[in-house]
Amino acid sequence: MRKIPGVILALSLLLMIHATSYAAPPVEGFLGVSWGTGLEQIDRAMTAQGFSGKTVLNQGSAVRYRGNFEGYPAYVVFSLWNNHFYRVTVSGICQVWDKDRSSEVGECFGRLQALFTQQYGQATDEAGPPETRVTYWNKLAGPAGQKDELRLILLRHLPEGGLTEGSVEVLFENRRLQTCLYSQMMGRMPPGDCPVK
Amino acid sequence: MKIKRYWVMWMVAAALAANFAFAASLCKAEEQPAFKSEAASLVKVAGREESAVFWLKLIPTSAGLEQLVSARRQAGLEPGRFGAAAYVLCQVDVRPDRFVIIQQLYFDAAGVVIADWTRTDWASVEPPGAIIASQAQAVLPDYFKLKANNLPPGFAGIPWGSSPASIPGATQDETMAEVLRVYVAVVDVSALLGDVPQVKEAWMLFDRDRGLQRGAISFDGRNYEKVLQRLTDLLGNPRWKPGRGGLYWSLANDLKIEIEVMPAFGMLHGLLKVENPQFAAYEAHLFGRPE
Repeated sequence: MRKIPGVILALSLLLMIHATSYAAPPVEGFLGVSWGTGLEQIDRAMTAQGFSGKTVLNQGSAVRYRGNFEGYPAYVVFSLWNNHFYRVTVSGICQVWDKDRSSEVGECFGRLQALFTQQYGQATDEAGPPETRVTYWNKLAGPAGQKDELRLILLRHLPEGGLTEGSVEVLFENRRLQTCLYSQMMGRMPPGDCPVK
Repeated sequence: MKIKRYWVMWMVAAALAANFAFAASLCKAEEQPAFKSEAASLVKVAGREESAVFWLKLIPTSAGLEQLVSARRQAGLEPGRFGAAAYVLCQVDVRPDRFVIIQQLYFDAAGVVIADWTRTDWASVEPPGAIIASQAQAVLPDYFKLKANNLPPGFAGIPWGSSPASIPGATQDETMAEVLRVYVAVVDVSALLGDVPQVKEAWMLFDRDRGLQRGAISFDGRNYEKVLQRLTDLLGNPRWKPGRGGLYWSLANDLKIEIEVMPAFGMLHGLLKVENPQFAAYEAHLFGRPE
């Protein structure tokens, strides 16, 4: 048996260590909107990107837009507490009712999955029955630099021939910010390192 | 005969005056019933477990106090301090088919308890227990009459049977029992909550073939009394079943609203559910449980 040269072994080990220690850079926000910003700044950023149909819901706890997300018509909803954005959902992507068009939803999902993998690294988890597939990026770092600060979910559900249509959805949330804001709102002491006072 | 004419006129005037006085006294009697009533409180939180009861407050007028005292005298009992009763609190167990008064608390003007009786059958209790019980039975149905409401069937303006796609921005959250799908969305629920804010997106239950069947809204539990008051003003007094946490309003055979408050993680969470009761039997069947 031939021996593996020491240099190659060392280089391979170095590469492996580098690959495992690689972490995607902190994600400051989504669609050009930084975590924690208010309605006014969200509106400025979304209007600049061509989104329209602004609808402010429930006393400013959410704002909804209609526009194109990665080339697909979709609804984008920003959720806010105390005028701080902590979560965004993109829904109705590749929406179809016809069961025969399930593959369109699958293709759409695959394309966005590849795009997110490129942007945020390898997904951490996958789950769900065949008709509902969910991919998670659970350990993304946000502005605070904590590796499990953010969570990105990409979800696909196929048309079933009934009233529940098939589509792809994106949910991106800043969990740390969400905990802080929710605690504040519910009258509970927020964590000490809360970025919003 | 001048004197005779004056005499007749005088008699007619007197008769008219007497009639007016009688009519006025009748009106006065109607204005002053023996007891006035009001709902004292709808919810009592005892320890960790919440129990909901209906408290009816009966306030005796002077005629009512007279009734209380004379009832005791007629039974050969001392009037005691019943003549000084400022109000009586009746704890009412609201059952689906009747009201059962389980406690009567008599208070004087200083808030001191004169008598505290716990019974379910007031017919044989010493006076004036039976008078108060029958008075409560007479007015209770008025508190449980649902007010005319303009709430359309469905959840926050979204009709039962709608598809998730009809709600802009709805996202799927969970799959249950193969055909049930939970979606979340931000929907305008101000018709139900008024100025109390939602603290989370509303969740909605859809059946694959029957569409929307239920919706739920989360609010800060510290606003529970405010939400309860708003819904009571809007819909009338709620009902409650023993063994259940929530107060509810059955508004039609396809519209039921229920509110609950529960402590968790050091916070009080409020939940308002709107559902189509016709879906309950089918849902029970899906999960293989008795209805």
